[in-house]
Amino acid sequence: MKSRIVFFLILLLYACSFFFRGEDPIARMGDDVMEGVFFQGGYGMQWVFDAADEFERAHPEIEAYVWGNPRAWDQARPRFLGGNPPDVFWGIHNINFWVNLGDGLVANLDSLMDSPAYGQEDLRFRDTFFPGSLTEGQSEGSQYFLPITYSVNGIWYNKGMFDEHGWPVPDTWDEFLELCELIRRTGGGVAPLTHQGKYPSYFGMIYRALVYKLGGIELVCDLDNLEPGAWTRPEVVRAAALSRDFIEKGYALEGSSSFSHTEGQMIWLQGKAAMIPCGTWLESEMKNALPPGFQMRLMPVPGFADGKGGVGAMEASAGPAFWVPRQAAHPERGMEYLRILLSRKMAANFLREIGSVQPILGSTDGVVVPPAMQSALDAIESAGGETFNFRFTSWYLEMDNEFDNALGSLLIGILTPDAFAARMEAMAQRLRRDPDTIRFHRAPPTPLAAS
Amino acid sequence: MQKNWKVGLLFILPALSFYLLFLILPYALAFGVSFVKWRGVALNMTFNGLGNFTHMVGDPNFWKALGNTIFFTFFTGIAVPAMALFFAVSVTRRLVAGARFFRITYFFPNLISQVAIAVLWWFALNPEFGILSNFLRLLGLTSLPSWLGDPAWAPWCIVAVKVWASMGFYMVLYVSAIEGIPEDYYDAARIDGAGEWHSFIHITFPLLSEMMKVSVVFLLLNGFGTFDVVRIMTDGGPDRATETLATYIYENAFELGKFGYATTIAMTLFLITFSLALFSLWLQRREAVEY
Repeated sequence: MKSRIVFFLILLLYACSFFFRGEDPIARMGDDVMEGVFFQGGYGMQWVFDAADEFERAHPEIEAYVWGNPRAWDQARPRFLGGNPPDVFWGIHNINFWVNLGDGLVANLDSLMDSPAYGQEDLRFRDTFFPGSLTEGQSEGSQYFLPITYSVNGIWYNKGMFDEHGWPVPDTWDEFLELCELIRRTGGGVAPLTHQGKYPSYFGMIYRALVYKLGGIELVCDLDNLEPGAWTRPEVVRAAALSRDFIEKGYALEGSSSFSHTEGQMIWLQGKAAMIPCGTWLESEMKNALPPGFQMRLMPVPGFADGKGGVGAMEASAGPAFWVPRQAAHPERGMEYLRILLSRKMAANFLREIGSVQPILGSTDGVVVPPAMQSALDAIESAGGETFNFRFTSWYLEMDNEFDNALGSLLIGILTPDAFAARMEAMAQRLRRDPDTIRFHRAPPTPLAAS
Repeated sequence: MQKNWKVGLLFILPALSFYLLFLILPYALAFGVSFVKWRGVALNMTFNGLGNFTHMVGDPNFWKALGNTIFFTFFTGIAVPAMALFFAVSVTRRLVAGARFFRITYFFPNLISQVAIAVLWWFALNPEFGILSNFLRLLGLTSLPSWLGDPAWAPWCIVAVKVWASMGFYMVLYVSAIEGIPEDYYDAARIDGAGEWHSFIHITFPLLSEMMKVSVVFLLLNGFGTFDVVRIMTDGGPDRATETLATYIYENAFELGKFGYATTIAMTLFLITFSLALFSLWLQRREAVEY
């Protein structure tokens, strides 16, 4: 009797599969479709849907089917392997843009860049971007990737706490150390800084800024270009020593070395530390955890009066994000979607909805920029538009991993500054000799500048 | 006989087909991939001969990951059976009050997914707001380590969590085996003047040998496959202090786009696990005790 019941239930389950199997939306829509797959993270998905609505208004004959989730790349990978990728794509986590380019998966966007901008037909699409913001997505003079945001990295501080205690915002590294001492003395148990130590790349924002401010853009380019001996130069070692010294002095909240990004950021929002290194995505990433009235402001990593990089210079990046798969069924529709998504109108919509700036000229006009993001733009303006960024982190993922691991060990005292530098130099040497590593080169760039 | 053989083959053919298609074929393909350079997104493969294997031998991160994997396997392989046996004997031989309650409690972690367990312990081990640090502070300890951020502590934290998570399963295995031992043996031992300790040494432990054999194989497989707990709690850090072969395979395949090399490590892991499983069975090859 029992076996009959089990058999019947299995049969019922099988029968159900005919009625609840779902449907393939692409098959339903036929060929009149533009499919976009997007990473769903702190920015949510509404801005993608808004651009899809705009696309359908401009092209009523085509349905814009856009979808996404946090594992977009992992889920889309089999479709790339099967030669059936979406028409436009944005994925993060484990994606190596340049390897994909080397494998011939990425469409050339030059024709898109030279087409008229959406809503500003008198301008070429490429001329609507912040100066210099397209270079990170170019290879051998051609455009392959487009940026999603203009992100600025630095040290966020709790403005309410700073105002309450009368703590000054420092300019130089020495003033920064004095401030940390002051916070420790007068902060009532508040740590000067916490960081997301499980992912040392966050403290890397401080370290990289120190390298730039000591060694200038030539040193940054040499590091990115894997120049022999670049990682053992005195400025690189000194930046490591200053980072290690900062932790040794006890200015970072105890336990920070194990915090994930959300843990560290939550602890900062709870007022247990006064500062934290992060990029301009911080506010949208933590929007559900923001205490009422919390005010965050961004300051540059303090520099050196005698350094080769400006004291107030900011690490700013418009890194590669969107691309059109070369094997897509309708790559021209994917490009058209990007033309609309990165139009001034949709960039303003992005700023209104999310509070982050896309590198599109005029997108901030008439839009109230959130104070946190505005503080980042103000900091760049105060620095006279001087910005910098490192490319090895996206060009050479192995080096990026090694940098994170070695920096983590430096901060917890396992590696000395010299050993840190030697380890990075060894990795650079390995990559130089590796015939499979796709090499890139950069010259001192035109600094990015916000409008 | 010949006819029966053919009919038999016909009956097992569907299952055999699935087995060949979804298990043997992927393994065979993986074996092939371990000899090529492949980024895993396009079908561009380049034959690399033994290049991936020679690279692996010279890769310090591989050896670090192998060392950590052996560390986790060894210490969980010792702690889990020892504790599971201790608790199994305690609850079956009524050495503690409320044995039924403890049986359920110890098995409880097996009802939760490894991912949820890792997240739970990740919070518990947070040095700022985690329950462990706060409890130790209540006891007056002040200078506490940064558990998962300290390379000296992080591997032991992983071992502790793995033991906590898997001990209940093995306890249930041992409980079922102990309950299968006829009570007459214990009665006879008791009449001969044996206490609980001697009963354990001379009756329980020898009669559990078959189950121990099975559990050692399970633990070896489980230990060498350590992934989810590490991936969530430490992501292999700090500075690869908790990197395992499985997380290193993931890093190479999905983060660095080195599918060929990752498959080479995966094949090596398979060979190690397979050899160890055979070795452990050989070591314990004595005849099963029937009762």
